[in-house]
Amino acid sequence: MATLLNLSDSDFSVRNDQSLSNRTSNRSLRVAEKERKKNEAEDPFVLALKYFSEVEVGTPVIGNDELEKNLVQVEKVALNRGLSPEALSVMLEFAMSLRMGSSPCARVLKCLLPASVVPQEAVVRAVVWLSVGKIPISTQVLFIKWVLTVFDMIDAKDRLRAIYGFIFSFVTDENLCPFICHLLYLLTRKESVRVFRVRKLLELQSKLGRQPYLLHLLSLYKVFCPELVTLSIPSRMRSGFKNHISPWKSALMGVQKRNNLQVPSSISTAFAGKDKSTSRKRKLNHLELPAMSAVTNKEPQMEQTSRRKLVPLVQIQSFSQLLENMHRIELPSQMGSLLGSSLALQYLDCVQDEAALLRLNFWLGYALHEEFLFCSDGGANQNAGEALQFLNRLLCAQHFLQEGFPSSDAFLYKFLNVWDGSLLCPQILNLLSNIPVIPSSQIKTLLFEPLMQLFFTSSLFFKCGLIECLNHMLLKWLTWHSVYALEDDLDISLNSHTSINITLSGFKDSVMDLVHFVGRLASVGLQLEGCHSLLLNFILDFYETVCDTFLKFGLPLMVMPPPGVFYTAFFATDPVSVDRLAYIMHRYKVNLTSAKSQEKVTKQAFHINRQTFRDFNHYLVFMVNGLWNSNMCYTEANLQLSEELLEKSGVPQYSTRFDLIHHPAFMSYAVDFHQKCWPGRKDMDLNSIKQSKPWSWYLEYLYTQGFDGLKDFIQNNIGRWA
Amino acid sequence: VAKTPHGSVVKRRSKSQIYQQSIRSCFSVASRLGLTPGQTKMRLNTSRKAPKSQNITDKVTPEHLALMIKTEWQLSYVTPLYQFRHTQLKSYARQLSAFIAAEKQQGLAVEVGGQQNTFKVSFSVLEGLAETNDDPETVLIQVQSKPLFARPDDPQKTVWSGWLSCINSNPEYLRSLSKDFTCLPLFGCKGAEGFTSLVKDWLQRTFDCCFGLLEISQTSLQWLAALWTNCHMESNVQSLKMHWALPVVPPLHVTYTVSADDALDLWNSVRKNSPEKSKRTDEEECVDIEEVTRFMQGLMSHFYRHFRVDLSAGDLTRVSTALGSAKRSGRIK
Repeated sequence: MATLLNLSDSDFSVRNDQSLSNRTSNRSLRVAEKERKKNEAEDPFVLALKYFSEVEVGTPVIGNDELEKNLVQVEKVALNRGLSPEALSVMLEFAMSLRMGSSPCARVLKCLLPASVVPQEAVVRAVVWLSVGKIPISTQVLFIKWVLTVFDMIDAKDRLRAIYGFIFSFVTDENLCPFICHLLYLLTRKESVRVFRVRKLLELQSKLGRQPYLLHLLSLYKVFCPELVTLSIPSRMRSGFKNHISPWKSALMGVQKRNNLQVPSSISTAFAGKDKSTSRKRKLNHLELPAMSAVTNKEPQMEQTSRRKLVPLVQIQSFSQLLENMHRIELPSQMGSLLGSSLALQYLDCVQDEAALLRLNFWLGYALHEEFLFCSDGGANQNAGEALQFLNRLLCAQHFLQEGFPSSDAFLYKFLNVWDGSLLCPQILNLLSNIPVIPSSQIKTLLFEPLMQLFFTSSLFFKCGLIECLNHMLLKWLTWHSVYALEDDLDISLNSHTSINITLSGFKDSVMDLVHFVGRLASVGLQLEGCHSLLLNFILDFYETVCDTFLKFGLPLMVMPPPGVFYTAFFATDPVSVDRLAYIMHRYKVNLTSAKSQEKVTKQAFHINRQTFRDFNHYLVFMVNGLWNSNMCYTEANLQLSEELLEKSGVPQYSTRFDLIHHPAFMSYAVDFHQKCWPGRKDMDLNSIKQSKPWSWYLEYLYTQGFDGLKDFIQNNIGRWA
Repeated sequence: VAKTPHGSVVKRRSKSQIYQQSIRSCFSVASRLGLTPGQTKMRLNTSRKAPKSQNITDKVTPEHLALMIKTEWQLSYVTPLYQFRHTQLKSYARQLSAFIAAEKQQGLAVEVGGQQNTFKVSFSVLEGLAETNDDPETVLIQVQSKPLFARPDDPQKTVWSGWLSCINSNPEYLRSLSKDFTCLPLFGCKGAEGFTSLVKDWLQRTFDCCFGLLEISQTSLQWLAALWTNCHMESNVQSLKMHWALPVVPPLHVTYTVSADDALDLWNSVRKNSPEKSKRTDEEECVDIEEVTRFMQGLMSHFYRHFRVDLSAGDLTRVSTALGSAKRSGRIK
C-alpha cells in the first residue's frame, strides 16, 4: 500500500504541475502540497488504481459494478492524459496475472496508454506472466503488440535483453512467432546471436516456409554474425516487418499531443537502419557503392570475447552512438561503403587506419578506372547520371576529409591525357583542385602538359574554369603549407596518409612552377580570347592569391604577374579589372615591404629575387605615371613604342590618355563627375578636373563608387609623395 | 600491360609449362591500376628475359595440371585481398557454399557450415605455381554440385572452377603492401556466368577486393605469337593461327594461319642474335619488342602481297597454336 500511495503521488505531480502554474504563484509550496494530498484522497482514479492493485483473486467479473466503475475511470484517464508509469505497472500486473480471469484482460490492455514512459520492470513481469498464466492466445498476441507499440517508450531495455533467451522461447508458438520475432529484432545485440538460436530459427524456417519475419530476424543475425548464417533477401521482401495495425496508435498520438510530449519514437523508426533496397539495374555496376555490411572474415586469432564486443559500423546511426562506441567499432567488410556515410567518414578520419584507407583506395581506383579509362564501349555516355552522382559523392567525401584520395589523384593524372575537357567538367576540375603538392620534377608531365593542351583547345568557359581550379589548388597547397609548416619547418609530409615527404624548398619550387604555369596560360589565353574580361577576372582572382603568399600563408615567395597579364589588366576597359589590379599591386607592396623588413630583423637567408623587386618597381612606376602623373612612359623594357608610331596614331596628348580621367575605364565616371561638379557648364572640359581641388573631390567621388583597390593603392603609394 | 619485367621464353620439354609460363609473364599484372602512391605509370617492358627454367610438372599434381591446361579460362584482374589467409581455406569454403546456397534460394536463410546437399565448395592451394619466393601460392576454388534427382551415392560434379594466382610478381610492389593484404592479382574462371558472379561477389564482400575484366592487348597478343613461334624449336606447335578484325562495313574477320616451320624461319630471320649463337655462349636468352614488331610486320606484309589486305589497319583479336590460345577478350587456354 505504501508503494501505491507513493505511486499516486508522483502520478499527480504530473497532472497538478499544470494547474499549479495557473494558480497564483505567491502560494507557498507547502499549501500546494496540502492541497494535493487532499485532492488525492478523493480522486476516483486513485481509488480505482487502489482497487485494481488490491482486488482478490477469483473475484467475480459478471455483475461486478465496482470493477466496471473503476475500469471506466481508468479508461477515461488513460484516453485523456495517458497513464503514469506507476499506474501502468498496476494495470499491467492486474491484467496479466488474470486475478479476475481473462475477460477484463484484453480490455485493460487496450487502455494502457503511457503518459510518459513505460517502466521496464512491469514489462518484464508481464512477460513472465505470459508463460505462467493461461492467457488466451489472442490476448498474448495483443500483449506483444502492445509491447511493440510502446517499445520506444520503455525506460530501459537492459533487463528485457537479459531475458532474451526467455522471450526467444516463444518463437515456437506459431501465433506469437511473427510478433516475437519483431520484438527480438528490436532487442537483439551481438551477444544474443548464438548458434543454437540460429538453428532453431532455421528449423522454424523449414517448417513455416520463407516467412518475412523470420528472414528479417535472421538478416539481423547475419549483420552481427555473418559467420553463422547467410541469406539474401529478395527485393520484394525488403520492406521490413509489417507495421502491425495496433489499436493504440491513434489514441497514443492523441495523448502525446495533449501532453505536449515530443516522443520522437514511433514504431517505424526501428527500421530506419534497414538497408535500402539496391536494385540490380546495371550489369557493370562498379560505380555502385557497396552496401555496408559486417565483416565475415574475422581474424582467426582474435578471441571470442573481444570479438563479441565489437560493434559493426552498420549499427551506428548517430554521432552520439559513434562517440560511445569509438573504441570498438568494426569496419565494414567493403570499405567502399564508407563513402556514402558521413558518420563513417568521420570515423575514418579519426582513426587513420592505414589498411582501411588502402582498401578504400583500391576500390576507388578500381571504380574510377573501370568507369572512365577502361570502358571501351563509351559506356560513360550511357550512365552519365550515375557517374555524375558518383563523382559528386566522391567530392563530398573529399571536401569532408579536406583531402584527396591518392587513387583519385593517380586516376586524374591518367585521365587528363584522354579527357576531352567537357565530360563532367565541373566535377573533374573540382577533383583536380584537390590534388596534393606534386614535386617539381613531375609536375610538368603529370599536370602541365595535359592541361596546356586542354586549355588551348577549349572554350572560354573551360579556360575560366581551369584558372579557377588552379587557383583553388594553389590555395589548398598554401593552406596546407601554413598548417603543416608550423609543426615542422623543413620536412613536411605531403599528405597525412602517405610517406612522401617534401622539403620547404621543394614545396616552393612546386608553387613557383604552378604560378609561372598559370602566368603563361593567362598571357596566351588573354590574347586568344581577345582580353575577355571574364577570363581576366579569373586570372586576377589567381593573382590575388599569389600576391598575398607571404603575409597570409607565411610562404616566403613572391612571383609577379607576367607583362601579358599586367598590361592587359591595366588597359582593360572595365573599371573593375583596373581596380583589382590596383588592389593586387597594393598587396604586393605590403607583402614585399614586410618581407624586406623581416629580412632585416631576422637576418634570415630568405631572399627575394632582385628581379622581382625590379619588376614590381617597373609596374608601380608605370601605373603611377599613367594614372596619376598623366605622363605615360612607353619606353619601358616591357612595352616599347616609338614616339613616331604614337604620333602617327593621331591621338592628341597620348601620354595623358590613361590617367584617372581619360582612362577608358574611368572616362564615364569623369564625365559623370564633371556634370555633377559643374552642372551649369555646357562645354565639357575634363582637364579642368585636374586642378587640385576638383582632383581631390574626384578621387573622393571614385572612392564612393566602391573602388577600394584604387583607394588603397593611391593612399599607399601616392599619398605620401603628393 | 605487363608489370613484371621477367618475361619468359622458355626452353623446356613440357608443352604445358611453356605456354603457361609465357602467358603468365604477360598477365601477371601486379597492378594494372598502378595504385600504390609511388607508382603511377604503367611500365611497358621492351625486352624479356628467360627466367631460370624450372619444371612445374614435378611440383604440381597431375590432376591439377591437367585441369589448368585443358580448359579455357576467362581472366580478370583483382585488387589485393584484404585479410586473406591461406590457413583459413576451410572456413572460406564453408562460407562460400552457404553464400551460394542462400543466393540460389532467395529468401531462405542458410546456416554457415551446415549440411549442404546441393553445393559444395572447396578451396585448395595449388602448390608449385609460384615462381619466386615472394609469390603467394595459387588458390583453386571449385564448386561441386549434385544434380537435383541424383542418387545419394552419385559423385558430385564440378560445375565451376576458378583460381587466384600470382606468378613472377614485382617484389617491390608486394613489399610495399602491408601484411593485411595478399596480392593474387590474376583470376581465371570457367563455368556458368551465374556462379562466376556469385563467387566474385563473395570474394569482393569478404576480402574487399575488386574484379575487372582483363583484356589482352594487341601488343601482348603479338608477344604471344612470337614467343609461341619461338617454342617451335623444342616442341611442335603445328601452326600459328591469328584472327584479325578489320573495321570495315560489313566487319571483316580474317583468319591467318601460318605453318609453324615457316613462322619459325621468319622469326629466326628477324632475331638480332641467332639462337644458335646465344646457345653456344650460354647467355640468357633475350627477346626484344623490336624483334616482335618486325616479326609481325613480316607476317602482315606477306599477307598483303597475297591478298591486298593491309592487316595493320585492323586489330589482332586472337592468337592460337597447339600450345594454347589467347583472345583479346581475356580468354586463354
